[in-house]
Amino acid sequence: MRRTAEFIASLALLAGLNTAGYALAAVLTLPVPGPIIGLTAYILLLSLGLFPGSRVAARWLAGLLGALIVPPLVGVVAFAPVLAAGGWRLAFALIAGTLITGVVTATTFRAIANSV
Amino acid sequence: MNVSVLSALVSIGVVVVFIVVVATSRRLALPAALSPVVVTAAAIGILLVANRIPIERLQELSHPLSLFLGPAIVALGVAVHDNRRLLTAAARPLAVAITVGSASGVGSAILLARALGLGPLLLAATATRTISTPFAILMQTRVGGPVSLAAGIAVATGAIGAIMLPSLLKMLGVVDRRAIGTAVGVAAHLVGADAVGRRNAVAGAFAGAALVGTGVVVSLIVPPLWPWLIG
Repeated sequence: MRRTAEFIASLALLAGLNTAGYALAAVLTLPVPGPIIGLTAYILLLSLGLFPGSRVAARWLAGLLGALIVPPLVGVVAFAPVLAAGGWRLAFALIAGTLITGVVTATTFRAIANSV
Repeated sequence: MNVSVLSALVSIGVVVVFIVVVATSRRLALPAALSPVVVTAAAIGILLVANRIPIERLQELSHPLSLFLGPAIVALGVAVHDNRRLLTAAARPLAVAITVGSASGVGSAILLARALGLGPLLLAATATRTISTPFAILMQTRVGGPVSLAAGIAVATGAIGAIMLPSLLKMLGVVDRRAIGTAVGVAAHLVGADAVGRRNAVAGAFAGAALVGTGVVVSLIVPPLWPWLIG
């Protein structure tokens, strides 16, 4: 019973941080999406040792992220003609871009880690 | 049936299908590139087509799910916190690599799309492909971009990176698990992080932090530059 109450309170905390993020972005007219502010605040709160009990609910909700993106993903079917028109050029752009990004990131990490 | 009851049922149905797919793919040890998100979306897509239900109808009815997207992104903070000891020990290379990697992710996407003449829709959709799909959906909604197209391209990017990037890095002689994890997290976000995390916990921790970090960095930098980037 206490666990259930803590779980629900934790979900409310995450939803509250999300809403607070949107509110802050609106008040300060920041171009940053609200949940990004909420995410940063949540990491900060956890690192200060606050709300440690919320982690169980957070892991559960983060694990369901995949389900939440299914409806927009199914909608990609409507863009089939755009994807088909992109063809091999799109495939090349995606593969080359992904590999360039990965190699640049790994090389940067190695350069900084070895320079310390 | 009452629309809000139907809407709740459809939303719960999507979550249940996803949970079943996750459990099954773990038991069958399916390759990470065949992510549960893709399998769930394909299964639901086939179900819609077979029953002649328009996709817009699913999106309307599953609207309640979109309300959880923000709180679930906030919840990702726990992935960073769970591995804080490992991560803080390499805070500097991690932070610099995420920033430089994010910039190269957005930059390479836009330059390649322009050079190959991919047109305004694909240009806008590829601009967010280096961030995890929920972040991409969030940002495309914020700037008024093609949300579903961007979601599809982000998922494809994750699969490409999960399949090709670890072997390419190995060929290039990168052996540091932290560097491999960070690279895969930045370039191939959730699908890539899942793939390397299954093989190595350190790489998985860095990949998890990198995908969250990339989502934050790109969400901070790209929206103000949006008209200039895709214009």
